[in-house]
Amino acid sequence: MKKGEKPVLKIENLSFKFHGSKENVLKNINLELYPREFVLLIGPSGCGKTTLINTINGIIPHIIQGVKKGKVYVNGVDVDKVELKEISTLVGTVFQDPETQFFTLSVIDEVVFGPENLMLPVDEIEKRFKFAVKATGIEDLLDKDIMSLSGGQKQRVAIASALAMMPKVLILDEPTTNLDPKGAAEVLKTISKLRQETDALIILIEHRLEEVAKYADKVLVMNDGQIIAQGDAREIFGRPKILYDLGIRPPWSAESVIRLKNLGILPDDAPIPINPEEAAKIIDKYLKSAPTLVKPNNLPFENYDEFYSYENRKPVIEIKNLWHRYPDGTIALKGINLTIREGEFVGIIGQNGAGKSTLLLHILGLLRPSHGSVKVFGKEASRMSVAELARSIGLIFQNPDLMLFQNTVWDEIAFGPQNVGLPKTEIRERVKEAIEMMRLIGFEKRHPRALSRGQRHRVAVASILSMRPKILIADEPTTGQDYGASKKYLQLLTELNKAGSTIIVVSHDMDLIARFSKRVIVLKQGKILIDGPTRAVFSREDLLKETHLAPPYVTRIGNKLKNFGIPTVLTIEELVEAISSLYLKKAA
Amino acid sequence: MGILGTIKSASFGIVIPPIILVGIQVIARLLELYTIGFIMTLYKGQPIFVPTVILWLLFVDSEIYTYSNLIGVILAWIISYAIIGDWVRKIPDILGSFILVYLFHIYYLVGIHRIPLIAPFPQFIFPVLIGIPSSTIVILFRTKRRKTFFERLREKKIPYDERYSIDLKLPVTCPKCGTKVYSNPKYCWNCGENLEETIYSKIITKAG
Repeated sequence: MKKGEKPVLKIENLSFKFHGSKENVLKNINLELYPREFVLLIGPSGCGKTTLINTINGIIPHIIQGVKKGKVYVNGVDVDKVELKEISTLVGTVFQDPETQFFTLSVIDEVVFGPENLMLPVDEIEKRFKFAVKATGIEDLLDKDIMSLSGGQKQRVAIASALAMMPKVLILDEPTTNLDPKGAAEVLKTISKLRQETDALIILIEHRLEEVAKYADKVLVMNDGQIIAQGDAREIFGRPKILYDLGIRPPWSAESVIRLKNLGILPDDAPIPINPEEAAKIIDKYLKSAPTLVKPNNLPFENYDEFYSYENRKPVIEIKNLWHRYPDGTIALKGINLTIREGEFVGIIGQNGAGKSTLLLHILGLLRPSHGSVKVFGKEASRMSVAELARSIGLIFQNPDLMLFQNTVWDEIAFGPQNVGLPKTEIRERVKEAIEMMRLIGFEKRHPRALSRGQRHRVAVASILSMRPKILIADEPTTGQDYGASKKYLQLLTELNKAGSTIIVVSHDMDLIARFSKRVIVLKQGKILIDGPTRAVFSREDLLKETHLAPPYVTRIGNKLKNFGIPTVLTIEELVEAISSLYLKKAA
Repeated sequence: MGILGTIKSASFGIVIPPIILVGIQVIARLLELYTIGFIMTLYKGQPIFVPTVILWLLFVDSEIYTYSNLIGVILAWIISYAIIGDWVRKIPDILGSFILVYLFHIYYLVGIHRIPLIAPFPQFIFPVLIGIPSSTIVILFRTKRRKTFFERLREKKIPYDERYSIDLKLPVTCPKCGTKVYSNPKYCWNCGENLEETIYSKIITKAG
């Protein structure tokens, strides 16, 4: 911010509620943000982040009406008093799903679409086009058809098309949520470049805090419609309690140092890191200067007994030399052999296009193998009837909206048990149980589509749980969920696993896979790259690199401290325990 | 399939062709196919009952020896085996079923209706003689060896890793550290050994 510079975004006493709603979604927000600032906006699901950005980009009140009080000024212009087309020259927004923003079929057409619609002169359009392409690094995509691009590439094109409007404010609303790690890394790298390329104020809503914290000048924390904290990244992440109370996970890097400070292992003045590399350096520095260290023996999490114990259990899924070729010629699976046993908790990871979804579709009996076989409980999955499969396997879709079609939450959850002809009393019992498990008490009569995304997800999960399937498959279960909700959800899956269900989770969230899965299978281009106990798989950073995956952040911190004898850790608790155990004074 | 397949085939062979034939008869009448010479008359104009049709199928009555009726019978057999072909795939089962049908009709005519066996080729051999080639053609078509998935890939010149086309028995044991894995990963989770090179190459070498 330059001295005397005026804010490019000014919000005064802003409150908003939707028509028909009793409570305000935004409550008396006041904010001033300046050009060239990079602001990270965080908060739990349903706190009002998207509603806030909709008041900035004019969607509220021009498209979504409600009761709005207060003012929003962008570059001095009152958003209420100008038309949306004028606001679009001031504010660019990039949403989670880039495909919902595309109007054309080619990359070039998409990038110039906005400026063309402003009826700008050709040389100005060309100038903006070049600027947007350079800023997002999409030179190599210009001759491609948009639909042939990967998720990360599409999102970069969406950012370019927003930048071509030369906005004063660029808003990125969870741009990496639907992307695999490689796609997310591409987009985040592009976002980091934007700071050098544009004078616009950048507002980023993002859950991958570790990756973006280093770029943020300012972090705004929202809860329940209000901004409850703001400051630089180290200041905010140095107060993890605020974030935990909101169900937001602070970056593990910051969290690890804070916990070690609390245990007296690191001094109070140790700086707060905002990425794994910084955290490892800080811990390394202080450990080196520590009193004599004694390497602990046999930390409780270091053995694989539990993993081996599954060998004696009955197989529930047996896949033999599975190949799958789609009609367009793509060979999605290339000779998968796999046995999953009763009671296992398996995480399947891999980049987009690795074959994860195809594998799940085979287990569900929705695809026929081109070669090989898939057996579920000893029967060919593709020959089982839908009813038979529905009794044994539950699938929770990544997009919960695809699963919701009833008018009330109760009806949604009761649908499955009703369709298999269970008695009314049992249906009632199962629905109540599922409602309780998924914290939906009080929502029974609500229309599922009127709920927030996180709530809709819980309804979708409850509708599966009421079937009490023996195998539960969750496809990207934590997408769009904050950490608190994601953790509760996976804890629920863990409880179901302890009760005997076999759980298969497909996810890009390495932290949650590491915390909850007992076995991890890594897919790469239709084959299995590595399959083993979670700890062992994540210790093989060298092999994971082959498919552009990285272990969880906490594991990365621990791996950089291997010279101290720290074993592979999967959670913050294990990291702290390992370092604490190490930090022993030798007896004199 | 063996005896069970033969009995199944015989049962289907007795029941289904007459039903099909009745259907053909009804459609032929509805479409007035007699105008183009396609006449199907069942057993001297008696009502269409399946048992009647069975008798008719045996060609007991010489008045019904017409080309169109012959076509109808052939169609009935072909359609029947096109339908039941999934359950009856072996030629010996088909032949066996015809023999059973033949024996059943000998018993029916000789044993129950006391018609003496005087001709070396009783008339009821005709449906059998017609049925065998009709159904054989259908079965041969249905059981024609389909190309394997890998043959189709090679035909289209689509490259694939031949090592992974080999059927493996699980668990796979790492040759370096002895760890057992219940899948076929490229690397051993314990020691990082490249299993593609060691296990698959060994199998290919063994297979020669």
